[in-house]
Amino acid sequence: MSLKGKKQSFRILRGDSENSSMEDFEIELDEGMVVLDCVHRIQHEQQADLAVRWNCKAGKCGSCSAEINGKPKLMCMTRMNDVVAETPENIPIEIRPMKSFPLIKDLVTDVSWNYEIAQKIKPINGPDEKNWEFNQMEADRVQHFRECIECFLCSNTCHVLRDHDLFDNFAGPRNLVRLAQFEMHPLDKEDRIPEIKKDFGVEYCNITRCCTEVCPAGINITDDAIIPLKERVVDRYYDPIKMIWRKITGRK
Amino acid sequence: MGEGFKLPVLNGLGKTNRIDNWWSQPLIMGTGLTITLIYTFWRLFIYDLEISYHLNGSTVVSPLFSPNILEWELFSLNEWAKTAPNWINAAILIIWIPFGFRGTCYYMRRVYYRSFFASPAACWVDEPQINKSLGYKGEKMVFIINNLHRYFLYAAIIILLIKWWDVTHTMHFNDGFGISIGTLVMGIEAFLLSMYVTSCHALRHLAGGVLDRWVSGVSKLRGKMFKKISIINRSHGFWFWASLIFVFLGDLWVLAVNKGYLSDIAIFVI
Repeated sequence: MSLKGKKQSFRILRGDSENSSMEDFEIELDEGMVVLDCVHRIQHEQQADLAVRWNCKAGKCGSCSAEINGKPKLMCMTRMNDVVAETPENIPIEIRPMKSFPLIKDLVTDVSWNYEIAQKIKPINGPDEKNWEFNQMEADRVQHFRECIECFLCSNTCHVLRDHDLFDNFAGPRNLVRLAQFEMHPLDKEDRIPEIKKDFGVEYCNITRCCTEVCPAGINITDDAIIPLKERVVDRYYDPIKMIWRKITGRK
Repeated sequence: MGEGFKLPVLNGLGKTNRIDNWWSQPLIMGTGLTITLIYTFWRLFIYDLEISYHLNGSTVVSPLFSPNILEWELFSLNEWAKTAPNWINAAILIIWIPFGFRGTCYYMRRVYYRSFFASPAACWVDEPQINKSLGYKGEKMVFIINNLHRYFLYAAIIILLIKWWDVTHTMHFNDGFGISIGTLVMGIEAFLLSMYVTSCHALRHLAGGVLDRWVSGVSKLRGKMFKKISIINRSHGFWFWASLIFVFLGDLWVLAVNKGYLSDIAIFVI
């Protein structure tokens, strides 16, 4: 279906921390547009002060996260063909900022909470000599997590934060990925399990997998990061045989 | 949290800005699980007859009642079965293993939290007010039992081995060794269960995920096992549903043969 020349209506949240409302816009589409192109066209032709955060337009910087028709996505990676196809005729395409984070203006939110949590995570504590060596198989497991672009769509999606506001108890999927990356690092010597359980609240996750569904970097957050962390917490706190074994051997 | 006003999440069960049919998946999965629960209850507590049949010397047991431990000579279970209360059957005695294994499964948890607890019913869909007023605790309180998944896994592996043993019982005919439709039914069921068990997240962890280093010898082997299990672990949900559905299809097959609606045949005997 060619979109060239099609008149398309949008409804975009406008406003700041004082007051906000949904405003309607209409633009003419071109072939091959993504949602961010449309927002830019509205900005260019109609509303020069429409605030939108963006950078690479290639799904690598993680800046343009928003909720399109109620689904959190990167605007630069969401093709208009798909959005138009899912939106009924005569109904505008709705674009809102991420809901879980404080609104700064229009489509821009303040995601600094994620960085504040990240600062609480102890850095890698490997051997003092920096001639670190490990094999490819060991590297693959933790390298996978470095594909995260920090768009925070996962933390925006997680119902523990979104619906229950447990920002003080739960680190959110992105930071659990960071913890998994350090905890499973082949040379890291830090014992992170107690804080993963108590401070970062891995047990608040009930594995409904929305973070994995939404990740634009394709990281299998639930299977590769959160569940392995949960299993390590089980090893330490809930497995009676392992607990007895540790008592006997004196090992952690 | 940073400065500024946070947009309110739409409050109330099912409130969302999504425009697609987000409710269809939790509804279908919840209905499927409810049907399996009701059917299992009926079969275990109300109609526990016709759980197996014989074909020319071979024995085909319904997957729901396999292993039929009440026919075992081990620990004189067959003797005890004669004096046991009428309502006792093999499935009642072992159902806690598959029930516990599936109930604490990391995939199943996704399904039941969504379908039965609406926590959340679907992504970006608000939860019912009661979930919020009760105070969300995650996998604590009663859900702490989910941490025993690995123990149910150990028991499930034993059951699985016996199920394969039961498949061999369908292959011993009076006039030789062969395969019947019953063999295929039980064999496919055992295969699907094997895939479901071996794609388990807890097994993946215990096999190699627990280690930070896979350097040499046993640890390297465990690393390779971790990688292999990781491949099938990606489709754990598929194996969950395929194996679950086949347990009940297998039971319906055994019922249908017993009732005379369908008949089993030996496909070949050597």
